[in-house]
Amino acid sequence: MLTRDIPSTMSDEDVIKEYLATQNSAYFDILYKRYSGKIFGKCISLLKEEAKAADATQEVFMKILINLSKFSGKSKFSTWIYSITYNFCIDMIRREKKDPSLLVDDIETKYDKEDDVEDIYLLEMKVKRLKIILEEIPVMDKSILLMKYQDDMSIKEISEITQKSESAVKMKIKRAKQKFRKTYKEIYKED
Amino acid sequence: MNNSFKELEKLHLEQFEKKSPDIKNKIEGETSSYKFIGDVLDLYFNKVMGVFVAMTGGEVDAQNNPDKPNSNPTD
Repeated sequence: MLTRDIPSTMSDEDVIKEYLATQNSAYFDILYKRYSGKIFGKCISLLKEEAKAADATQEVFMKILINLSKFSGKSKFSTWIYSITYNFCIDMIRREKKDPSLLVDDIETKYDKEDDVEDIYLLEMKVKRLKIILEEIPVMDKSILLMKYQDDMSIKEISEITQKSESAVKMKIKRAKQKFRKTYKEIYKED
Repeated sequence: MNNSFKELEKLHLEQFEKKSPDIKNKIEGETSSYKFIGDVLDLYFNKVMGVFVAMTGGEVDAQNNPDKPNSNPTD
């Protein structure tokens, strides 16, 4: 069977079932087409370097293929693979000790007293500036903002990936937005 | 409402286009190596286990030994 013979409307779950049953590479092609770009996007946002992001995309995809039979279908397939991607990149950064914020859990409370940051503040920002700010903020804050605003994950889904309670996730999102605004103000003083 | 995060994702997808074929080839190469190793294990695992069992003084299950064509008494 060729990739073009597979209906584009076929659900991820059905593609996985067929791939596991037949090992036909056409089903792998479908999964690769649907998700490789998005995985690369997350890797480059977190790892910052294109070459590292390319290597990480390859390794994440291999992890996904090796563990495909373990996907239970409890969560959406996209949530499952993004979870593997985020965890892989965070582990990589932790190993390289490039982000000190990963070494301790965020217990700061000073941001709590600040005002909430409206979603529109982040969503209406120029992409070039967004990219620069994301490169500056700690990786955990960046991850949580990407999960919420790029992957449209619910609080429940983020809490499953980060293994934190839903209320802790809400607090982390609030703090990440505050850190984002603080960093923005530091960089673009004129605004 | 705009979503600058989605726009950033689009930029990354464009950036990925150039890298995509190379990454795909590497993944396919790696999966074929895994498949090859799996096939080799499938083929020889029983034999290796049989030799191991025989060496440790056990008796190889004749029914499951593919080296003995007449090992199944019902045939």
